[in-house]
Amino acid sequence: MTDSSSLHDHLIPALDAANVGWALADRDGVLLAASRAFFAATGLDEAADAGGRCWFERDAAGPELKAERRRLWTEFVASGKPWRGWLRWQLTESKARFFEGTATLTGDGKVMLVTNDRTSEIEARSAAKERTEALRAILDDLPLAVAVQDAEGRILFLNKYVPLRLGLKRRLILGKKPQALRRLNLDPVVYRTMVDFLQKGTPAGRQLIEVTRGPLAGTSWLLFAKPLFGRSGDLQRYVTIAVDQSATMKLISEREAFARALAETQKVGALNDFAGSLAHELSNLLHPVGVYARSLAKNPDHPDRAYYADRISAATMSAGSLLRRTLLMARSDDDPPSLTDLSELIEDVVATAKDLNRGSIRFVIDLPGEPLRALIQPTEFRQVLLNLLNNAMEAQNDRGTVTIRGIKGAVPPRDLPLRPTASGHFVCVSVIDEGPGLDKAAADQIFRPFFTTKPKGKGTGLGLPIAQGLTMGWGGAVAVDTAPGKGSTFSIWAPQREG
Amino acid sequence: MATILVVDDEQDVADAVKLVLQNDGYFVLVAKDMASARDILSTGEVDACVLDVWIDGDTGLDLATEISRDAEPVPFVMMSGGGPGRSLESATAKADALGAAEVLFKPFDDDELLAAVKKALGK
Repeated sequence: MTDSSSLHDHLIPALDAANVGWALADRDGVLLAASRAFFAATGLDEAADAGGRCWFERDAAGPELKAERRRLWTEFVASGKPWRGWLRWQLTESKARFFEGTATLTGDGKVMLVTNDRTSEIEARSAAKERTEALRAILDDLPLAVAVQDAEGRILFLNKYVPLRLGLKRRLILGKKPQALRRLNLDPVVYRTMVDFLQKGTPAGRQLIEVTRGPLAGTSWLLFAKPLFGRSGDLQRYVTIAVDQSATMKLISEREAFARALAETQKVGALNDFAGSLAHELSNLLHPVGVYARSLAKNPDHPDRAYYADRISAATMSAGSLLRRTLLMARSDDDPPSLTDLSELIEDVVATAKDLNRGSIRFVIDLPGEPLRALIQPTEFRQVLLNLLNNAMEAQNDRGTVTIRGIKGAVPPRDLPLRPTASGHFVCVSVIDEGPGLDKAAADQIFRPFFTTKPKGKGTGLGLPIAQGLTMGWGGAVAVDTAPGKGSTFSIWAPQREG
Repeated sequence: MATILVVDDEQDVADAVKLVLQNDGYFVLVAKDMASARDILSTGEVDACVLDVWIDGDTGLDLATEISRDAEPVPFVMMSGGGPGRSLESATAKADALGAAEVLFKPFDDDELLAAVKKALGK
């Protein structure tokens, strides 16, 4: 148990150590006594406290503030009721301190003041407010929509972009739950997505929405949501950002349309070439048939009648063979492309080529030792690669080395005469021969139907056009890199896909 | 008896055209490529030509262009059976522009050929 003077002895230093100051004044506001903390906080001078001046008129505050203080003081003294409130104390004109305080009339008619210095707290709060304002200004200028919500989903903040793009007044939905978006007359699908997205249950994520109705019809938006957690791990705020992706989406769809149109043009070009070539072949077969037939009709006993009949028969058989080869070019759509590891397929096809090898050809397979996955039709790929291997073997008269190289992550060079229509990376399978190579004129025509560099009667002139047609069917292409004396490299560009 | 040069890389077609012209009393020479056609033309012995439009990657139209530039061009008839990326209209238009007596599309009738050659010789 301690007496009151001992309590006083302990209490005063404890208060001084805290931010709490105290002072005793008379009813006119003249200080009678005050703690060190009080003097330190107010900047008043203990020694200079003379002349009987009222304490609350001794700072740098303007006359209006001082008049207000005088009014409050008079009111307090007259009422006799305790006062509690804030005091803004101007140390200088620009520097202020903030006290939360009480004033109480004592039994002997004096005024007991207690002040709690809250300046650092007030300054921190005002700095935070300034930072928030600066952040708001930045968010308002951003070309994307930003919303901040509390844990219940109430929308606390929307940047200026939202009213700008949506044409709505912010106050209509600020402080409301996401359902307030109903007022925007949005596409119902978008409305539901937005509400789902903005409501709890979508803690974090990203989503692309395409708007087909309402004021934003035809636009696409990428939504991001990010939850903000408090120190104790509780959800406090959501930040949702919506970025207008319309231009990007339009660009993507235009690029796809262009690729489709290009593929279409290439197909029409190939068809024109094919029709012209087929007409050329058939007319050359048919014309002599007509001549010999007419000759036989005019003179059935012509001494060369057996020769004429043979020619007619031979031409018919050639036409039949031509038509059968032409039918090979007609693709079946029964087997769509599938994800295939080309490495295995290559080993397999090269094994077949070895079986067909009549001479002393050596095959070198150069693969990266990891799967070469591509979206192709395996039977067709087999046919294409076998065709290239056969050409290579013939080009080097069944002697020497044929190299088969496969690489992934390849990008087709811009100057390919026929660009693959698939996007992304490609698996490039090359067949490198040691043959004589081709001059530019021959290389330019090598994929045309019925063009052949092989001796008459040996090449059909359809192998490479068929290979090209099949490869195009998977969005790929076959290309040649060749020069006289340097051999030829035929490459299959197959659309690379990962499983 | 007039001398006719037939230029076609397809032996069967050349033979058949030659047969029809020979039966009608012409003396017929055959060239299977551009180089031998030029050689034969340079002798000055040819009265008229029958040219195929598409000759093994080259085009008979190039030969026709050369002929049309001569001081005294040898009259010629064009034969066409199509070719890669070649429409009948484009071949006809070009042959007409170069002064072909006639453009024949294979297969054509014997009488068509004889009439065309006669027309060329009459030019």
